[in-house]
Amino acid sequence: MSSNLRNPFNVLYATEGINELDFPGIFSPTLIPLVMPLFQAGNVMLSGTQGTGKSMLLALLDTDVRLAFWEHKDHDFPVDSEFSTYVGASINLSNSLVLKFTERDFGDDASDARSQAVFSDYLNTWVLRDLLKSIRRLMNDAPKARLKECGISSDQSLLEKAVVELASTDVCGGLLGNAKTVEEAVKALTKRCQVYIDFLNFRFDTIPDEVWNTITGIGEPLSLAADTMRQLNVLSRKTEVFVTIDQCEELLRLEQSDSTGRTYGRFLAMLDKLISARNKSVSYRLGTRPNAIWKGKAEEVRDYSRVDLDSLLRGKEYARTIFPRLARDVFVRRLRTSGIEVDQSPDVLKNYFGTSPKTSERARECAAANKPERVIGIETKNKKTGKAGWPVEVGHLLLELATEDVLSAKLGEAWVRQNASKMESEELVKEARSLPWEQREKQWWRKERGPLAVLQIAARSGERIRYYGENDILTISGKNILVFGIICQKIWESWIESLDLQSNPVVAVPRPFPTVRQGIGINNASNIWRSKISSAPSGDTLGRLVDTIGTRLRNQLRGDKSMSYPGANGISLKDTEVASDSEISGVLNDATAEGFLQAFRHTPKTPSRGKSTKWYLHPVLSPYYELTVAHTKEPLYLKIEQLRTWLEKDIVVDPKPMPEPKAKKKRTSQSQATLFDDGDDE
Amino acid sequence: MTFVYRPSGPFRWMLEKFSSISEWSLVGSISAEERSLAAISELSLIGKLDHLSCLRIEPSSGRKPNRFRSEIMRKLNTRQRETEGIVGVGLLCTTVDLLCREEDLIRAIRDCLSPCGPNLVLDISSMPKRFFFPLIALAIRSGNFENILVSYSSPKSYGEPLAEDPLPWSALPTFGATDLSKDGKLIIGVGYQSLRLHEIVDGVLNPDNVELLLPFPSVHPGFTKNWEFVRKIRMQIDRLQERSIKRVPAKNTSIAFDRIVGSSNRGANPCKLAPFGPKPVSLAMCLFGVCCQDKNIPVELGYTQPQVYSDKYSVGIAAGIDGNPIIHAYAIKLNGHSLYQF
Repeated sequence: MSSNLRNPFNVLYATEGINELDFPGIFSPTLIPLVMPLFQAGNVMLSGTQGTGKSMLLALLDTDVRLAFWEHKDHDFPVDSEFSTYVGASINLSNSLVLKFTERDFGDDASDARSQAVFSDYLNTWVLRDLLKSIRRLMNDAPKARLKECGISSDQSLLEKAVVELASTDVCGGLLGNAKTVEEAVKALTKRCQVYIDFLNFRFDTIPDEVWNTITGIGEPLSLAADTMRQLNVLSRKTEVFVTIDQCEELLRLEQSDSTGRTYGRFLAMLDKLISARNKSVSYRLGTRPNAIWKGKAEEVRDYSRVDLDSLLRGKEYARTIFPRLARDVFVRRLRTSGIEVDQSPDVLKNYFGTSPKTSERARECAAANKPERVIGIETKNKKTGKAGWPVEVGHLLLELATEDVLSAKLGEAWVRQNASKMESEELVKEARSLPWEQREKQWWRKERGPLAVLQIAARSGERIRYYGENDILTISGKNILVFGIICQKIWESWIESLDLQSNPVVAVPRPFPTVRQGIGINNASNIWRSKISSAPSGDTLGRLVDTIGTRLRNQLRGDKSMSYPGANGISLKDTEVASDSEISGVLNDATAEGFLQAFRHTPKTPSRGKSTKWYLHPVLSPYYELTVAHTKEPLYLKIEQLRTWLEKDIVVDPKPMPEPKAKKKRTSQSQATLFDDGDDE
Repeated sequence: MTFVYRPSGPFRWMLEKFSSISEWSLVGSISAEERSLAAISELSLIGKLDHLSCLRIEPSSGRKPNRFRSEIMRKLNTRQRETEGIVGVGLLCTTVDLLCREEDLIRAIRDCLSPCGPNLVLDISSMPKRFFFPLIALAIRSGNFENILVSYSSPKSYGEPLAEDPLPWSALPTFGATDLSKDGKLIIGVGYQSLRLHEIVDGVLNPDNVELLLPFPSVHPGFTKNWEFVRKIRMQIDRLQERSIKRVPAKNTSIAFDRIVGSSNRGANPCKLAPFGPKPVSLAMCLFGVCCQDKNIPVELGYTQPQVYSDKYSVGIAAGIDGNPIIHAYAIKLNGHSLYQF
């Protein structure tokens, strides 16, 4: 197969095998300067929506990945040597089965405490084993110069000495037994893990005495091991021990679903104890999804620092530059890894995808050809009153205009709808002839309504909006590098499918890709992201939530012929109202954490409304639900009761008990009055 | 392959072969599905049902929303009345929540098994894998049972959707494992809904280590759903080879078991098994898992447990040309000897 036919974006997930992928080749260091706390002493909570690159960043702490970089001939380790003096160990809370301790009951009043104790001891055992294996692996396989850089001795006898020393202590003695070598220590730790796994598998119902009698407190053996290895010069005094605890969101999810019928072990309290202990020997990295609220003693800044990838990618400070830079860098690295020569240029995406169309051009592309009457709605009769509609001249004017400039005609239609009831016929005709919507003072009015006009033109023409070009691709990626990768993958696929390899077996990657192929690729990526919803936790419920919001907003946008609410591709809810409905806030937050919705704090100018949050579907879902992409003007203002009505109807949440009739009447009238509350931009 | 004959066939025929056994205990389920009654009725009809224990598996109380809850509860009550009508007051019914703590689940299973006599039928027709996997494991390992048959009744048709809101991939109760080599095999039973299977498929390093057990022959509409399932996996594992698809008879547990034993190179390759396919194939995976554990071979059997099942998961009971319900039976333990070993 020609290397040009190999899709550079075929494998998108870091978890799909770092060894198989050329990880050093595809890893983009763009975000490194923003996440430096990860490579310095102190606990870090790293949060990120799926697709923000959290796994890729945490992978840099992994010993295998560091070795892969050191062996790579073209790519240096992306972190300055000054920040490379560390050794990493890790545990994935899901894969390690440690969460399964919630499934066992110790059958007495102290059951929760016993659960916490075995959780802690298992976690210690697992991580200590990983730490020893990591150091041994580095000693065996890392170049001497690198070991020195990391502050790790190459003398294996020192490590053996540390094992013997640790095995003689009260804290680690039970874990390591009589181990005298690393191999024996790993074996003893594996045996202890297996005892716990057998317990979790109900092979026996009580933890054996030899384990109970030597149980360790959370983090204690790890601190001791780190200190001992520093004392015995296995590690230098400056070498940090970083322990990654991944999938913490799973623990948070479990404990959030605590009910009277079932509680989930209170393991979060153990992790809280771990990071609030202020022990400097070991630094922990906790990977979570965004919106995870840490309820415990640990305090941000004092006990840990938070690195929020979503904020970094979306924050105003970096928003305009960081994501496009990241996307370009990822793009170039992927192509180079696939054997495609490409220069690291600021225009690289423009070279491969071209320029996105202007709004007027996009309107032309999706308008039914030579059928202005299909695209422009002329009111010949007022349907409500039965009276005559617009003056005939206005209709002729708009239809004629549509043959030359369909966007202007559509905006003109909206202008007429907004003004028809305010003006006499003659005045309306006179005003319309001067095309007031095209005047300079209306430029913002026009800009805000452009995307909505295109959407309505496409809808009336039975066409889909065509997206292509660098700007469309970056906007639709929604600052999510996974989405960007999926879009590129699908565009590549669409292009490969279009080739006639029999008549022309030698093909070069087009620059730019045909716009049709890009459009198909973007639509396919949109479909893929929609299908991913069902793979998320409570995915079917979240799917119904996103369907409900997407469909309602589409109907609102399509039905808003006068274009009074061009920003209604998102909803705004008052924060206090959201907080009062835990079911709705739960599903909204879950959908946001998984990257299907995007939430933005928002302060409407209407003082009575108070602090609010606006939610939009992720931009990549816009083609699927046929919504506008840009977030312009005011979102659709909703009362929580209105949203609840939608969601109950579509079985996203269970119906609430019916309120008293009097109270019900009051709420209905309020929600009607404020449904389209005209707030202002934040 | 094996020289061991593992009897299986129509339930009635199988029971006739055990003519010397006059009393059987049965552990089944009270379910919204009509087929949950088939084996109970059959055994009762021939007068050999000595004891009946049932797990009444209710929709999870902690799970909201559940649009099927009220209808499922209504059907559970109906089915329980029908079951009591068949066996009289002797029914031991243990109520459990679908997503209950494993501790409670194992206790309920032990409660069901403890009054049973030495000849046992385990009816898995309507039992979620979360329940029937540990049930099989505990029954086989118990020294109390001489003969164990597993019965499985087919429905007339399946509903749409079958289940919703799957939980993340997790080991089935009693089948957890860690430290599986990354070069181990991933064996997937091809079914109708892939749920969140992508979570383990994403981690596949070498497509050559993936095997799909495709039910064959399969008829429409199941056939189409099976291939849609395969397509979804292929979307995630682009380099999946055609040879990864291994066809297995949907109702032949013995052949499926041998297939898995072969794929694992008799346990030399650590395996992760994903039972998403027909229950007889899942049963083979379960029996393979029990066998591996007994030999201290690391094996993980996991699932993405749905939080909600449809009240119309299946409709009716499939009947043969004679009008009798189609119930398959598989002998897994005879005269104290487990038949599924390697």
